[in-house]
Amino acid sequence: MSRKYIIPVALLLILSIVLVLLPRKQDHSQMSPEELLRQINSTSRFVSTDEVADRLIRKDPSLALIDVRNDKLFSEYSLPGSLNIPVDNILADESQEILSQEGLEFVFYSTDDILADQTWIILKRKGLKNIYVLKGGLNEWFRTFFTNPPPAETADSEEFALYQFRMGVRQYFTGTPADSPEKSSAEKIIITPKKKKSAAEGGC
Amino acid sequence: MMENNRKDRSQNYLNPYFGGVLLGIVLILTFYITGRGLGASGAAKSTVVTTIQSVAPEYAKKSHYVSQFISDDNHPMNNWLVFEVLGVFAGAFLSGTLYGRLKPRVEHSPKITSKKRLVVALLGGLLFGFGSQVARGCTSGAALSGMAVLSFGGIITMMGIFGSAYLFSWIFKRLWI
Amino acid sequence: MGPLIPNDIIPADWNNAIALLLGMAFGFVLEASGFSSSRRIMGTFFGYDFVVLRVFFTAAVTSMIGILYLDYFGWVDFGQLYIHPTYLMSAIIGGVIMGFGFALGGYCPGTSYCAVAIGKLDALAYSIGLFIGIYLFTFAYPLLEGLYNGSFMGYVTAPEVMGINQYLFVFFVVIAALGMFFVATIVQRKVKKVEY
Repeated sequence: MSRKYIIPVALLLILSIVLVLLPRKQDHSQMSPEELLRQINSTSRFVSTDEVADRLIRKDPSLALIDVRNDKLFSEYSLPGSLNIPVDNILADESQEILSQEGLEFVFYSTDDILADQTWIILKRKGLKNIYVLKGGLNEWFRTFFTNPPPAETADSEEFALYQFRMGVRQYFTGTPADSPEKSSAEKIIITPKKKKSAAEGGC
Repeated sequence: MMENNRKDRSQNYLNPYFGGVLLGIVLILTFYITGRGLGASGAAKSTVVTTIQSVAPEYAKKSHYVSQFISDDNHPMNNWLVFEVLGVFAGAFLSGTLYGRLKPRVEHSPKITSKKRLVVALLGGLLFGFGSQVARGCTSGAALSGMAVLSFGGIITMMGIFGSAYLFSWIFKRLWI
Repeated sequence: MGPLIPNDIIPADWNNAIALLLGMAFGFVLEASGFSSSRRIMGTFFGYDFVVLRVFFTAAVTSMIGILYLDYFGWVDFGQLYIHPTYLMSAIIGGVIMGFGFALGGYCPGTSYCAVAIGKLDALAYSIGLFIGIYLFTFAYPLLEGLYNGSFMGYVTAPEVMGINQYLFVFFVVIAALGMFFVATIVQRKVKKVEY
């Protein structure tokens, strides 16, 4: 080997050794504060109670309801088919695995929507997509479907249609007894092993 | 004087390590821009598929293999590898021109005739073409591009090709030296 | 953040044009390194010219290190890159068949295209052989389908399969490559020179 190769070889060795010794990669996918503010100000993350009810009735498979309250409140009452991930556990590995499944839209709810919204912000910073917040939370759920007053005589047909829809929802859901919430929610969401997603096609 | 220069030039090749680094850089760029690696046998496959489709469309549809590559909304030749290979032709032609290596000839060992070389080359291509479909790639696509992203299959294919080539080249040594 | 086209940083319409340009660079480097000569290529197997070994492994090592660095610094998302899938038996058997073809033909598809571009008729014969071989495969496919689709291990990387850190793996490849270059140089000096 002639002398002239000493430098390239040394360079090669140094580069590969440095690669081995470098500290573990930083997570570069965290959102900047400006981006986060922009996302917070946009209201696109909110999902209405009407929409959730509609999707539940239609058994929309892409809907994944997540109750972020503690498990005691969850066992007292929860929305049908929802999974309980208390906000304290939201960053745990198992929770993250559940939330990173593809093809699902995760709607967080809590008593009001403050806790759910806080959860949303935390997860947005982690870079999760497909996450939403139930506007008004369970309070709004009850107000919309269980204590909703009929519209005034002078209201337009749209309001009446909405009222009919909501009465229908109430009938649908009060079929299930209030004191035994759906504990089978655990089976509804299946954890699929993380597959390698290649966005590029390739081959030879 | 000019004759000598010309002869010298056509024997000028890049330093292999330098060529390797350049090739590595081309690979990095390719992955960085397109997310995929280079390839070669895929373009040959597309050509065969297109030919079969135009000459015998019924067979193309019936064939389990060929039908995988035919779709109603995209012509099989309209794919990344075909364009890349066209570029390979152009780039090699350019280099050949630059170095004065353009010359139609049959390259063969003095120990065999050029006719024999042509026949053997055809056989070699036949085997390689067949094998490239089995392994889903060739040295450029599976071995080289596969290794660039540490693909296990790529490395296995590379070892298979080189190991087997070593074995068979000694068996058929008379063809070369 | 790369890869650029899958992340829409460069419009997908440009993909074919970019393929053409990258192919040109590929073809140029191959030809300029001498890969358009079958006798030169075969030198690696007989010891009189190790250009294939040197270029191939230098390129492999360069690209491995380059891509991993880009991934480390967040310039490229490694997870989005196309990783050649591993079908174990197909890889091995296909590799062996290709090696046989290599030993007879003295080319691989990429280098044969380069050689055709500079006028080598044996490369033309080889390319025609490629088409015939692929055509024959379409007939043999129903018999081979099981093998072809079997032993699928996923789009796995070698360090994953071996259970070691990927940077460590690359380091070992670097050492192996340097070792091979060293041995190749010594062998080449001792082997009888061949004119081609």
